[in-house]
Amino acid sequence: MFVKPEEVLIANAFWETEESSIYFVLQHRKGHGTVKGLSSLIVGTLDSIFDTKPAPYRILHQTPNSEVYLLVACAMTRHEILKDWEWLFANVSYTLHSFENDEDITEFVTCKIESVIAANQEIDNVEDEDSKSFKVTCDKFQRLFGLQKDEKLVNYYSCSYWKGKLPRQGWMYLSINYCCFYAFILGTDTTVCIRWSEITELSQKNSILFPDSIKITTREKEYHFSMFLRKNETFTLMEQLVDLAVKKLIDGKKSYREDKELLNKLSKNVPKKASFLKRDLDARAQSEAYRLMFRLPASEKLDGSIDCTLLTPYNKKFVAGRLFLSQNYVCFDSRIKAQVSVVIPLRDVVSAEKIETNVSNQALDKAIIVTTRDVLNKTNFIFAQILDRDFVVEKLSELLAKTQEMTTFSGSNRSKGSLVDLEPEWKPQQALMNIFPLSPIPEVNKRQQQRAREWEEHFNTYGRGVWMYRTTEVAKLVLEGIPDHLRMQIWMSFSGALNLKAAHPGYYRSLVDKALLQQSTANEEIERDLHRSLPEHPAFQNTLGIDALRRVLCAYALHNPSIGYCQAMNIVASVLLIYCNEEEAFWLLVTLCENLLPDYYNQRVVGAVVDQGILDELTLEHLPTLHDKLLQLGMINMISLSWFLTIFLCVMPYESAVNVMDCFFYDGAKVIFQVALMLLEWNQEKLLQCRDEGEAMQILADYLMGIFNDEGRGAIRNKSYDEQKRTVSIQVLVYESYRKYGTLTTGQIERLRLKHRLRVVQDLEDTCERNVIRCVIGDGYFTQPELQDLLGLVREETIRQKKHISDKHDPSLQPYEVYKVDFDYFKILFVALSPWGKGETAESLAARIFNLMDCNRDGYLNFRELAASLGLTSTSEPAQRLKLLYTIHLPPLLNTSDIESPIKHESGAEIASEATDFFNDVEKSVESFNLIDDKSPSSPEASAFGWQKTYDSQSSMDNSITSQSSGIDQGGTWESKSLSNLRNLVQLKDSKANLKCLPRMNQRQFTTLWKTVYDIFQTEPEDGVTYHALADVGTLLLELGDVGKQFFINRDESEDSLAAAAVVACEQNLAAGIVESPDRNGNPSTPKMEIEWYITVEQFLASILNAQPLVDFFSKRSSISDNIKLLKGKQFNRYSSIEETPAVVKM
Amino acid sequence: MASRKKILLKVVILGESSVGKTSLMNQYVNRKFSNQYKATIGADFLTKEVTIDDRTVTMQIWDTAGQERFQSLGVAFYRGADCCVLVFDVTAPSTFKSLDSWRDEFLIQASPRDPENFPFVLLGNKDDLEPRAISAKRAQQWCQNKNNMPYFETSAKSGSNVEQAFLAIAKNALAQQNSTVDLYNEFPDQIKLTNTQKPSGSGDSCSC
Ligand SMILES: Nc1nc2c(ncn2[C@@H]2O[C@H](COP(=O)(O)OP(=O)(O)OP(=O)(O)O)[C@@H](O)[C@H]2O)c(=O)[nH]1
Ligand SMILES: [Mg+2]
Repeated sequence: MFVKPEEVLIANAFWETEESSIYFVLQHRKGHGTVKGLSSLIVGTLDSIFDTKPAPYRILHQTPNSEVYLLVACAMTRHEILKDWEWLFANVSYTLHSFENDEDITEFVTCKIESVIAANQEIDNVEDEDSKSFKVTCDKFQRLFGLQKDEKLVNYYSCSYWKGKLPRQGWMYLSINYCCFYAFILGTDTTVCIRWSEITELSQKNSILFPDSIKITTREKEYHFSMFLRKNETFTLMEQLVDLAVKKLIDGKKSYREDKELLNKLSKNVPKKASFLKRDLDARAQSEAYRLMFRLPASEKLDGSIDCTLLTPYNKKFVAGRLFLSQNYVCFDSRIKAQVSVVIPLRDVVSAEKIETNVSNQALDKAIIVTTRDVLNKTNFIFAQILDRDFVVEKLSELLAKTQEMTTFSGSNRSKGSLVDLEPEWKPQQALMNIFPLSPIPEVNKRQQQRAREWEEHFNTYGRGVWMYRTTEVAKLVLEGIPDHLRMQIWMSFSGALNLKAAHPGYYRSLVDKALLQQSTANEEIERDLHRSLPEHPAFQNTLGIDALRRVLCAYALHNPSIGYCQAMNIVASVLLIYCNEEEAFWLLVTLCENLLPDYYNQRVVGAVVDQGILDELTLEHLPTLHDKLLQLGMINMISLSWFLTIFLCVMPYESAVNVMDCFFYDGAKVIFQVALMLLEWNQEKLLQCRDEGEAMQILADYLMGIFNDEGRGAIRNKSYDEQKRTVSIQVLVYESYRKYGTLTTGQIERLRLKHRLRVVQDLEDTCERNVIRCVIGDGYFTQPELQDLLGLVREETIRQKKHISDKHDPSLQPYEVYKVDFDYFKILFVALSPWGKGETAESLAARIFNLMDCNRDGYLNFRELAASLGLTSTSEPAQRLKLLYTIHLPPLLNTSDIESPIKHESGAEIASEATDFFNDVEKSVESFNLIDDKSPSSPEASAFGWQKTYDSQSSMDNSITSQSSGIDQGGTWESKSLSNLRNLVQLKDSKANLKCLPRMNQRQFTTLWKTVYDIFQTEPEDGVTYHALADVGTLLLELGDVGKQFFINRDESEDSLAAAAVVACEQNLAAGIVESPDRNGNPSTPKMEIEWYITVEQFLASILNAQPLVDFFSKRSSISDNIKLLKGKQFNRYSSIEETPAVVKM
Repeated sequence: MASRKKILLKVVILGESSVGKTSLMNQYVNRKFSNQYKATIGADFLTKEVTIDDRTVTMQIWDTAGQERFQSLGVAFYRGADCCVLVFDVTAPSTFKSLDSWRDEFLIQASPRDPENFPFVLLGNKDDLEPRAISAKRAQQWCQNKNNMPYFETSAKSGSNVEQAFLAIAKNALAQQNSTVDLYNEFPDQIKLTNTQKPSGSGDSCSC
């Protein structure tokens, strides 16, 4: 068998050559024949490759001019190795003669062999866990794209990538977070690496330019791939992976975890070819489809399925279909769509047994009977023609045993609960329509009774409740509207809410007890809306209804905090409460929010916006003319929110809308689309005439309010209802919508949701980023495109570090606070993007700047702080840059270790961590300074004003603190306070006054500073003039410092000395704390002793700004965008990534 | 002539949930207060004919949903607005605090041509209720910083000051429409209405 080509150094030791050609050598091991005890040759071969035991036969590849041999194949038998040898001759050797240079030959061979391995491996895969060759590929994949070890490969496919107009044949690697492509042919290296979460659109295309291809769109680029061997499989997997990524963007907590349990369950049915993860994802998809089909709780995992027939007693026939098993259910679905299906909860099953094979009745061959608790009607289900009957029966009894354990357990639990609280404070409300019957209308009563009779008949034939054989008959009945008193029961069983309720006995009560005691925003919001839910109904003009509504909504908010409470849920819940008992209403609400309308009510109403997009697409498809008009009026977005979020309850009389609800619980979200399309179609002519959106809204609003239901028993026949123009009956609307648009399927909707979710979520991300940039651009360090690039980098990093994603939609956070970098990553950015990041001191500088800029001392720079940090060193005014340089060489930023030992490259991290430790103790007292002062987008001036403002208040506050606690030496407070003062001073753009506030610098500090300056300049091109200037300025500053020294010695304590005056002025000038700062840091002596040699920041600035070459350097505005491109390139370049940016790989 | 054309003014009402946007709109248009309104989902709208300086204009009032999570979905309703009405509840401080974000969000999403001068009107509603949490002075101060936004204290319940407030709103909207027409009109000598003085500057229509 072929193996991944690998270098072999000593070609001849231990080996004897049997055959050779120019490019290949076939060898066998000397003394071969001692290997023993192999049970299987294949296993033996594998072992020998991956363990150390060498196989006795091998083929090496060589080129005449090279010393290096590559191992390309090995085998346990001569016969096997000869097969490989022949294959090489037939397929490879011949082509090799056409190459000109040796390297190309080797590359070609390597590439070819690897592709053969990959192709074979799908057949060769072994047992449950990933095959070893898959692991090898996975390793290769990680190396190739410079990814972390935990980046798991899901599968890979051979395909072509269109680079320009040329297709490159290679491999597409799909992993949990990336879609990658690699081709390495004839010396050209083509690498594509796209993060799933970057993708804005994924589609299949078939154009002349890119025939039968898959297109991936990101914000920057489009990618086309084609020539897939299994395009559908590839595309489906891509869709799945993209969806996982998108869902993670919606809710950071939903990250992917493999589900070993699920995998084992399905191992019976799934061929074990693909990778572990691929199988896992397949299993998930199957389970998902299963749950969707039978409306089962989200925790239900499919165990397996098998073909069989079901005896349908109502017509005494056997229906062919498929039996599904999961931990709590047995389900059946007919092969012919919608013919019949059953959902049997195991909790209600007594036994599952084989039926003795009866020779006379072939139909009952290999049959089992499932007996239920419904003794009264002797309900049982008979499945026949089950090929693997023994296995099914065994599995069923195993599952049954488990369920019984569970029920006894929870049963005992319940009784205990009721003992404790003898007198509960609240009683669950029964359906409100029973307590607040609306004035009966004779003809309505008659209709309802007739409907009830029809249902009763149906129950008698097809079974009742969960025992029902679900056929098209029941669908017909549902379409006509369910009688009021049956609604609860039927909604519960068709929506699957019944299953949830049964699985969680006592849960609702405990939720309510907890929720009512809580104080939360959700509860407040609920309180405001209780009287604004269904105010026209007498039940909600009464505390009974209001209290029940409060309990249901508060319980839900507690049950699912990621949704909490969203307006519209109040309206839905109040209608549920009219027809259902309180606990049932709760579980229906759960099913609706979490299964039927996923993400609808979350923090950004994502689900509803997704479905808006779907309605738009469906309108385009079915009503193209109207679509143009609606687009022009911007209508879809206006109507759909209220239609979708309340399932028409707030736009139609609720008694009509509730019939839509009937179908909705029976058939899922597709009903909403059907009805919406029908309504649009019927109003098409009028809408096309509209001049503005107001008129169009009015037309629809009037039409919808006029939809009547003459069969609503409790019809609220108040005046407005009767006055309303009657437009169409709800029965006609529902029926027609099914007739016209009933071909829409749930599967179709799910697929569309996948597609639109991607777009919506990426739009939200974009909005989020725009907000960040809007907040930060006012600081004036970078341009919009630069910030975009930088943010892209940071976002990438934030996503990669999974752990730190804070809630993007947390309203208490500023947009830019969501994106933040830790010191490790800051270091990388600093080195790559800042002109100061090139020398040996880079890490130490980075650490000090990091500490200076990290306002809240949480060990992260948020995006705004990051932009300021980088901007201050690379784009700001020269004076400001120098001010920063000066400041970071003052205490507390410059600590002793920086001064005493010149910074060694390796110890940089240590120093950084030391510095971090140092500041960790700092009491977080000065929090008042924050960057959040101008929320509104503003010009640079305005923002500078903002800084100034905060600075003023900050300083005056500091003053008062200082004066209060002048005697007490609180090092920590002082540290952080002075840090924040320094930060403010550095960021202030102008003003001589603030320069005065910067402390003076002593000689040792200055020496370090000057070393840094040299270090920074080192990376500049060798230039005599510059170095001359550096030397001059350095000497000058040293002299100036000496002058200060003399000055102080001569005119000690003289009142009228300028310097002393300056000190006093400075003290009065807001920043007393700072001026004294040097004394307190490591030099606990009095100021006089301290100020022997000193320079001031003004002197520093003036001297440097006088030397043109230095000015040039400090005013050069380097483009961070170019550097960002370089940095990004490095991350994907497999050769340079390891040597040049170690941190990228290490982290 | 332009002046003969039927004039349609679009006004958008924004503010936290439950401050009384729906009630205000209904009080103004139908002159009645009811406690039977549902919380607004998506948006509602009503129209009303008003006469301003002898001209009849149709005011189209859009009432939007107030919960925070709907804030970013307003874009569909904001476009082409001539005036934006911000509402807070004088008894609930948090509804006052969120005004900035409503205003910013509106400017971002509606992106009017001249955001600096786009007319806003602030209404402090429920002034029939006690105890007050936001004084008139504080609200006026906020308005001063916002290009002298006119401020009215209203009660949708009693109807007090509602008529006046909406009249000012209509005037501002009309002025806004004229000014944008001017911007895009080639003829400088077009008849100008109420253009001599910017009405938004005067806070004297405020009754408090
Ligand atoms: N006392 C008093 N109550 C008012 C006034 N205006 C509104 N309300 C009440 O405040 C509650 C909220 O009023 P709405 O008009 O529905 O509030 P909204 O701003 O439209 O709220 P959303 O639709 O959720 O955004 C209702 O109970 C009204 O009856 C007022 O001026 N005085
Ligand atoms: Mg409202």
